[in-house]
This record gives sequence, structure tokens and C-alpha cells, in this order.
Amino acid sequence: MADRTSRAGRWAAAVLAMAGLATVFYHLVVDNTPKGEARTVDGYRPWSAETIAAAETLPVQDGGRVKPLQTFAGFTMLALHGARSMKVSDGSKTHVLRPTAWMLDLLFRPAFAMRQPTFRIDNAHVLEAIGVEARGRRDRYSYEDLLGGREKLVQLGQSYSRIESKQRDPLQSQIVDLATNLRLYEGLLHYFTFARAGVVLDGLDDGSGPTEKRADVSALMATAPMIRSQIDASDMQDAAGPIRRLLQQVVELSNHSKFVLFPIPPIDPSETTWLSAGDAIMTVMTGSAADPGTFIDDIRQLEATARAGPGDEAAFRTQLEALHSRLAGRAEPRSDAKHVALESAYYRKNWFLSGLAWFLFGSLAVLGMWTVGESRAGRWFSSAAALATLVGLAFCTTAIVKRCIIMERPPVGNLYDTIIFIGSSVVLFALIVEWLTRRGFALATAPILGTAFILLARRYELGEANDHMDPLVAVLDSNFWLTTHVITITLGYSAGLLAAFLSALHVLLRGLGLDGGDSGLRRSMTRAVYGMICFTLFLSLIGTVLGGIWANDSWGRFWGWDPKENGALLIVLWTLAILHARLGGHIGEWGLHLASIFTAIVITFSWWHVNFLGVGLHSYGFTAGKNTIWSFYAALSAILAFGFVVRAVESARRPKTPHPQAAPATEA
Amino acid sequence: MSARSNETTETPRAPRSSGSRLIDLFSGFGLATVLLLLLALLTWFATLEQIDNGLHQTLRKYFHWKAWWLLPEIKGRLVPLPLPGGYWVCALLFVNLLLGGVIRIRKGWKHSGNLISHLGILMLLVAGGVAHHASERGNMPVREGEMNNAAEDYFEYVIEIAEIRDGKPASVQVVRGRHIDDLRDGRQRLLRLPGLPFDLEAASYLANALPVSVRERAPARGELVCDGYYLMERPEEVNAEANAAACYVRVVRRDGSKDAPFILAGASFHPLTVRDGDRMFTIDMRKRLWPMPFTVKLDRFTAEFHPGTMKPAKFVSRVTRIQGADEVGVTIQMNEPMRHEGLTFYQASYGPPGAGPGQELYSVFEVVKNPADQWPAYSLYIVSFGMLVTFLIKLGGYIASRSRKSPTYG
Amino acid sequence: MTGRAACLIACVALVSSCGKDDRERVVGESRPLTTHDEKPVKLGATSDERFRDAKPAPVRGKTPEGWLELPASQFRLLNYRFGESGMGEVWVTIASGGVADNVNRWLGQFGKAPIDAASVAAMERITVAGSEGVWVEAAGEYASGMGAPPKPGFALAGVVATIDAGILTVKMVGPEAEVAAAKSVLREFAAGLELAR
Repeated sequence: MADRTSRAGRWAAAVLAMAGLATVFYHLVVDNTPKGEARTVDGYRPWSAETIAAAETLPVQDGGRVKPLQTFAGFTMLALHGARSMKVSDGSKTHVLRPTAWMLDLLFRPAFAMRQPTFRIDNAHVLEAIGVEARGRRDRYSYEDLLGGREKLVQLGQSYSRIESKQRDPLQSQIVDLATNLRLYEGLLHYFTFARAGVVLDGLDDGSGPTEKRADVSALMATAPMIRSQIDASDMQDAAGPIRRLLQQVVELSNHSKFVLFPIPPIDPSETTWLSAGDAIMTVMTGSAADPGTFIDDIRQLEATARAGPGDEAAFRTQLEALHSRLAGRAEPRSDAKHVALESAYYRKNWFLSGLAWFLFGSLAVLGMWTVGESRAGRWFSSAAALATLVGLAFCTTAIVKRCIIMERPPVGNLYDTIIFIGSSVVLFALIVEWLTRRGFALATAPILGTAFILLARRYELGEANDHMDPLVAVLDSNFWLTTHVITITLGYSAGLLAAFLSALHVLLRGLGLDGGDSGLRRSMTRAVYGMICFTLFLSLIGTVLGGIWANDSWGRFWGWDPKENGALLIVLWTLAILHARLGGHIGEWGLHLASIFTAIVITFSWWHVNFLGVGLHSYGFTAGKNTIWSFYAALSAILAFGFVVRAVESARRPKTPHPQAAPATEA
Repeated sequence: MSARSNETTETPRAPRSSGSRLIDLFSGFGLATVLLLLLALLTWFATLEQIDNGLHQTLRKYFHWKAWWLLPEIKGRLVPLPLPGGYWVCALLFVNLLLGGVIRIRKGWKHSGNLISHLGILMLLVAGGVAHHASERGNMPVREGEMNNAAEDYFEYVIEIAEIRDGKPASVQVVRGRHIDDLRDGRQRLLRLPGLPFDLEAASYLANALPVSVRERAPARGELVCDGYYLMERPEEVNAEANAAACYVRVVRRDGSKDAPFILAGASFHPLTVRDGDRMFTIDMRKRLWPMPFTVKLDRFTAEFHPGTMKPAKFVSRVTRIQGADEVGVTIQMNEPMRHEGLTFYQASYGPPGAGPGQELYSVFEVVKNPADQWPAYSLYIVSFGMLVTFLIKLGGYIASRSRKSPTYG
Repeated sequence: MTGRAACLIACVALVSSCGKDDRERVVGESRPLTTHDEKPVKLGATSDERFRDAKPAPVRGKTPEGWLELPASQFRLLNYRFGESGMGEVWVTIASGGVADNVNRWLGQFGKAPIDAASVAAMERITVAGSEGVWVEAAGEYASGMGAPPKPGFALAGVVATIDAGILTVKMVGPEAEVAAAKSVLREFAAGLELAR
């Protein structure tokens, strides 16, 4: 009888494992492959690796900090396109465009950019609303595709944005988002108009029709003082007419380059705000630049680079490198651009993807370990699993440390940070538990959890499309409290989640008959879970009270009833209840495990759900992830239900003897 | 239920007295578990309810000492689960912790950690109680170059009667909110003011109302009209600080004659002037003023924003604290409040609301008086020390038992 | 034990529900003066000033029975509607300019020819707000000139008086019959106007 259930259990476990692996691969494949069919852009020439490398580390200021162009391009592409890669065919070959290449096209080769399928539009009704034909199953549209509906989109976007965001229906929100994205795109597309067009000087009619002479904006900037004095001196409108028209052109051109991209470091080292091309032009024209010569040269170099864009790539690269050494050189002694190169290297190396690969390998080793059981091969598998997990953990830890250096703050500041931190600490705790218990169950969970959390981090980054290294708001600026309170609470989440997963594993093993009734193993797991719950309590309690002390010092309130604080308190109260119930003999082994699984629900509420409630300091307002939360609750509830069923079956099968209290009263 | 009984091995004892059984109940693990779960439920419901009903109102419903029991609400719908009030759950938890966790707990060095932790938690609970009953907080906005020596209560509206001499208030009498805020549905009360030559009769207090001219909108519910204005009741704001209270008042002279009723509203620009003989008085309704023992003068306020954004990075107020002849310069900023004479000044925010870089700003402080201000910190040190002790003892025991490699385990 | 517990609970419940529902109470605590009291106090504020922070109207009048008082606007310091049709309007303004100019403007709105100063001097006198003014009447097609279409069968009655601040005008315009009926009321109203100090 035990053998038969055990085999059925094995098959069930194998199916679950396959399903899990399939999900992982699906996500990896879906995330990494470019979306949509390859769009044909005739005559497209891909950028060479050297050009991209030259562009990647160009410093720009965005979101309150200085970052490499690569990061800016990455998140902009993510926001508009929903992925970090795009397939483009030149008629014969298909090329994969990554963010920097895409940004280079957008800025310097707008003719190609307009035909690339940048805009992700999932809802066909949006296209209907703006009068653009939805073609087939394509959900990525190029700027050219959308041009027909551009006017309508802008108009609808304006009127819908007047409605309060909570009261907009999904279609209206999507239209507002698309309008915003379009504005961003156009800001970049037209950024270098001033370089490509120049200003038109009023032509002299020499009998063969008025000629159109064009002058560079930079040349005009050099004559700015003269222009200004001419305008001041003349009282009659007509006398300064041509001059006024010139100035008007300059103002219009600079308006296109005033927003979105801020690559010009200020000359004064104490000044913190970087300038866009338009800012620099207008600063010189209005005479408010202390050192106009530098800006004029900046603009001249920008013009040269922009003009070289559509032409020969080697020539373009030369100009780009000159631009880079000019701007980056000026930025180098500044304190805000210190880590641009490091950040570029961080993104290029893609640490978390490597960590994921190692965790995945470790998970496969774990599967092998469970399949072959106790044997020489089993020990090989378990060593391989441990090693792979350690290597994966090393990658994750390195990545977190690098992020701290780049952001110049402790590791946990926003939601993305928490995911990677919890992922790494869960793996670490699991390895420690394995070292203490040496039974294999903790080793089994480590790489699987690592994989899951890194996947979650990647999905979150894709969904949010916001640069998660941008600085925090003022209240979170205190580094000491940030370190202690936030890290403690986050570690508390990790410990609680590990306890829950260990209990889930226990329930599955027991329920599917995979543990062969090994009471030693069960007791060991129970003790590990109990220890983890105590550890969770310890961390959560200290973290919560630390948070209160921080709040008291910041704004005079120990307990502000912020939903996030309440969430942490819920974890404390729940784990306390578990412990006291166990100490009082009210729950036994099963009770402990089932309650521990419920802890994951409490932690999910505190970690994720409170962010969607729309109140308090930690409110983020986006609702995209709510479905994931509900499905997670559902999965945990399913395991809980399964556990109750198994427990009921077990106690029905057990001969009726008065069973002793599970927890001896001598334990304090 | 208690962890002590073990019927199969002990000799039968005399039945426990009802008093002992009561103490058993109050000191037991079971009660502790139930109370903790109740507290968790209350916290969870309060978290959800504050979204719709605002924090201040939700806290009063759940945790005020006068709230014995309550029915939670989710999205405006009542949940049919009566729960005891949070204050009393905590009070009971205090008793349970004292009896079970401190007095009756097993003593000995192995359990010392738990004893210490429990004492720390007791201190935390007491700190919460003290803060609930004895703490005060107020709002103090100050413009650059100006001085302020009184904070405003966030919620309480009072009636102020000031005697005017030489065009300025010479003395001020205050009628606290609790004397008028229960006057709903037309109830009225005669407020005797022994220090003044008249009394006031107050009626129909509204927590949030706006004075409206009859010419703009006719009264829909037969509200009393005074001098062309009446009070239009508005729903209470989710952010309770934004409520503007109002009521109708008449002046009752000492000879018994009553003047025509007039409106007192938080949302008024100027007070009402009343004459008695040749004395002049102003009557107004405003948020209660909390005078400070010293004056704060804002010398300079700087708000820094992250470059190129509207995200605030840092607010720094440089103030001078003036007390009698002493003048001390102090810097107040986020995470660095000013503590003096039992009062703490926090950099709360700035105004005008929605202002950005480049506009003229004023600084807003929050003033807090809380005798139990530092107690949570102390309790934290105690609790963590106790927990650390327990954890280390347990860990040591676990490792020791593992190394013994007993055949039944391992 | 349950009996005792029940008594205890009952006592507690009684105490908590017992509020102080009295009709009379001695109250009043004094508070020290603060910087808030140093701000200038506006004494004798009217309800308009208290609740709308509005400047007091320079001219006050007693609304006659049957007239509907409307909010003041930028040009109409006092503003009323009267008459069954609802088209009758009365408003009071203080403006600059001369009496003759104003009279002629009104006459011009009814298509009448302008009159000279001597004719103005010969018009009926009436006292308004302590100053002397002329009584003006006209009838015909009313073209207010503000883009509204001309209204036939309308009449005008009013006063133009000289005051310190300029010209005080009381103008009634409406269907002929209604204006005729309300003329005496208008005289009374105008006589009762008071200028604010």
C-alpha cells in the first residue's frame, strides 16, 4: 500500500516539477525574445559593436541622477516597447536591436526609427479610438503606423488626462499612457532637428528667386551678443525684423530639444542640474551663460554628430567618440557622474541572468537528487546542487553590492530592491538551514526559490519599466535607519517565506507519500520550520520597532498606521500567535506547518498587497501586479487545503491512542 | 489549557479555587494566542478601513479607549464579525503578559531571555497607553522672517472669545471642542462664561460645513439662515484635518435677553464682533491653539529637489528659538527634529501645497509632546537583548544535541 | 463566577454609555496671548466679509417686496429682478462720467435723440442717497448694445445722481407695463438708498 501511493506521489511530484520547469523556460523565452514579427525596414544597416560601445557610456541626467545612456535607453525602450529587444529585417537579414542601438536610431537616424515597431499597443480599441487600422495580430506599431491617428491621440490624451486617474476606465488610461509615450518618443525623434535643419537666413533676391541660406545654430549662438544688442537698439519693429525671425527660429528649434534628454553637464561644478541641448542654446542666446564658448562648442559637436548619423558609420563613430570624450570628460571630476562606467558594466554583464542560470542548473541537480535518492549518484547531485546554488548566490550578492555602490545607498530602497534582496537572503538562509540539518530538504528549496525570485524580479522590472536605481524621496534619505529598519524587515520576510516553503514542501512530501514515513526527516523539518518562525519573529519585531523609532525621529509618530507598518505588525502578531499556541499545546506538528504556510499569505499581504491599497507612504498606485498576488494567494490556499485533507486522512488512518502533547511543557 | 496540568502522572490535587482558575485563564497561552489573533484581525481590518474612512476616524473607532467593541467595515459594507476594541485587547494582553509571561513563567537561566523580552513588551504596551492618553500634537507653519509661538491642534475646533482693547485682543477665553461637538440634530447647550459679561448658547454643531449665501443657493433642508447665510453640511473629509467645523451661536446677556443667532465657522475669514456696554469682544471658531513656552522664528527655509524633478530631496529649516532673553539657533530637518522642554519639533512639510522649485515656500512643523517618547526605543533594546539570549541558548542546545548524534534523531 | 462577571460587565457598560448630556455647563478657560493674536483683527465684519471676505458694498438698499435680490457683479453693486415675466431688471451702479452723458446713453438705448444740458437741468429732481439726481424715463425698443437683440415694448425708469465718487445710477428696465406698475416702488427704493461710509 505504501509503495503504491508512493509511486503515484512520485508521478505527481514529477508532473509538478515539469510544470515548474516549463513555466521557468517559458518566462525566460518570452522575456528574452523580441516581440512581434520582424518588421522590414528597407536598407537598414545595423550599428557596429564599437559604435554601440562608444554610445553606451555617454552620461545623461534623468530621474534625479546621472546614468549611462544605456540605462536611459533600456528603460525608455522597456516603457514604450515592453521588451529590451526588437527584431528588424533589412529585406534579407533579421537583426536584433537592443536598447542602445534603438536609441541611436531614434536620435540619429530618424528615417529608420520611424519605421521600427516601437509602440506596444495591446488593446485594439485604442487604435480604433484614434482611427488607426489594427493590422492582424501585431501588437507593436511603428511611429509611421500611428501618424494617421496622431492628432486624435494627442487630443484624446489631453481630455482624458483631465479626468482623475482613479476614475478613468482602462481604455482611457491606455490612451493617456500611449499619448505620454508618444510625447516621449517625439521628444527624442525631433531632438536633433536643430542640427539637421539649422536656421534659414533671409535670402537675397538676385533675380533668380530668393535663395535660402542656412546657418548652423552654433554659428548663430556665437553671434548672440550682437543679435541681442541689435534687438535692444532698434525701436521700430521692421528694422529688427529679420533678426527677430532668426531668433524665433532658434527658439522653435531649441523647444524641440529642451526636454527628455539632458546630456550636457553644467560648467560650474557646484551646479547640480544638467542641461538639454535646448537649454544650452537658450542660455547662450539670452546671455545668461557664464561661459558661452563651452556651450557653443558642445552644440557644435552635437550638430556634427547628428549630421554624421545617417551617413558613413565610421565617420559617425568618430564624431560620437569626440562628443563622448568632450561631455564625459567634463563630467568626470563631478561627484554625480562617478559611477557611470560601473553602471554600464553592471547592465552589460547582466548578473541576475547569470545567477538565474546557475540556480536553474542547481534546480535540475536537485531534481536529479530526489529522483535517484540515497546513493553515490545522489550525493554527486546534491554536491552539484549546493555548488551551483552557491555560485548563483555569489552572482546575486555581487550584483547587489555593485548596485549599492552605484546608487550610493544601502541595498533595499524600493520594491525591486526588495525582490532581489529577499531572493538572495532566502537562498542564504536555506543553505544555512541545510548546513545545520544536513537532510537535503533545505538544499532542495534553495535553488528553486532562487530561480523563482529572480524570475519575479525580471517580470517586475518589465512590468514597471521604471529605473529602479533612481534616488528616493526625502523621508527615506536617512541612511542609518534605512539600513537597519528596512533590511531587518526584509530579512524577516525572507525567513518567513522560507519557513512557509519548507512547510509546503513538508506537506507535499507527506501528502504525496514521498518521504516514506521517515519520522526523523519530518521531525527535522518541523524543528527547522519552528526555528525559522522564531527567527522571523525576531527579525520582524526588531524591524517593526526600529521602523517606529525611525518614524518617531522623522515625524514624531512612533506608529503611523501606515499599511506597510501594519503589515509588519501582522507578521509579528501572527508568528507570536503560532509560538504561543504551540507552547500552550494548542497546535501540534501539523498545526505548525499549516500555520507556517499561512505566514506566506501574511507576508505577501505586507510585502506586496499594501502597495496597491492606495494609501500611506508606501503607496505605488499601479494595479498591474494585483492578479499575480491573487493567484499566489490561491496557490497557497490550495496547498493549505491539501494539507488539511492529508491531515484528516492521516488521523483517520491512525489507530486511536491518546497522543501526547506535541510540545513538552518544559519548553519556555 | 494551561501548560502546567498533566493529569496522567500527577497525584490528584484538590480542585482549584475559582480565583486560581481565573488566574489560570488570564495567564494562559490560550488567552495569549486568542488576544494576539484578535489584535492581528483588528490591525488588518483597520488597515483596509482607513482607505475609505480616513485614518483619524478609523483609529477612533478601533483603538480609542472608549471603544469597547466594533463592527469592521470593508468598502463601506459592514462585516458581521463583532470584535472587541483594540485598546482593551491590549489592556488584557498586558494583564496576560504580566501574569503569565512574568509572574508565572518558569524561572531559571534557560528562560531568562524570555523573561527579559516579556518585560520589554510590557514596557512597550505601557508606552502605547501613555502615548494614547497623554500625548499632544499640533501643526505650526512659519513663514521666512516671521515668528510663531503657538501650534494648532489638527482636529479640535474651539470657540474663542477675545476682549478687544485698543484694537487688539487683550484677553482670550476658549470653549473647548468637547463642550459643543456633541450638539448634533438641533441639540443646544447654554455655555456659561463666568469670566465674561455674557454667556453663549450653542446649537447644531456640524463637523464639516460651509457657510453659504442664500443668494447663491437656497437652503435645501430648512437650515437656519442668519444674516443671509446658512450652514451647508458636507460629508466628512477622508483626511480629517481638512474638516471645517461650524455651529450656530447666540449671545445671552446677563439680563437674560438673547441676541439673534449667528454662525460660527472654522471656514470664516473674520470673527464676529459683539459689544457689551463699552466693551468690545470678538467671537470666532478656529482650531485650538496650543501655546508654546518659546517662540520659533524661521530665519531660512530651503527645499532641495532632485535635479530636474519635482521630487523633494531635503527640507532644511534654520530657526531661532527665543525664550525670554535667550536666543538659540537651531536647524530642523527631516530625521533631525528639535527637542526642547519636553516638546519635539519635526520638519513635517512645506507650503504652499503643490509648490515646486523656485517658488516662495514656508516651512511647516509638527509639534509633539509625548512623555513616553523614548520608551519604545528602550523597550526595543530590552526585547532584542532578551530574544538574542533565547536564540543563542536554543541554537547552542540544538547544535549540542545534533553533535551527540542520538540514534532516534539525526 | 459567571454571576459576578455579569455584574462587572453590566457596570462597565453602564459607565461607558453614560454621557454627559446636560443642557447647561460652566465652561471657559483662558489662554495666553500668542503671535496669532498680533495679527490685525477686522472688527465689525459683516457676514459677507466673514464668509466671503468680500468688501462691503458701497451702497445699501432695502429690497422691496416682490423683487428678487441677485448677487452683485462687477458693474451692478445692487442687482434685482422684478415683475411676472422675469425680464424686469433693476440695478445700481457707481460710475464715472457726467450726468448728461449717462442720461443720453440711456436714451440712446431706446432710440431716442440725445438731449442738451438745458433739457437735463429741466428734468425732474429726486433725492437719492443724500444727493440730488435726475429722474429719467423712456419707452420703446430697448437695444442694450451688448450683443443682445433689441427688445420691443420695453421701458426705462431711473435716476442718475452725482455723488462724491462719481455718478450713482439706479436703472430699471423691463416690459412697459411692468415698469409702469413698479415706478412708485422704484422711487421709494431709490430714496431709501444709503452710501456706506
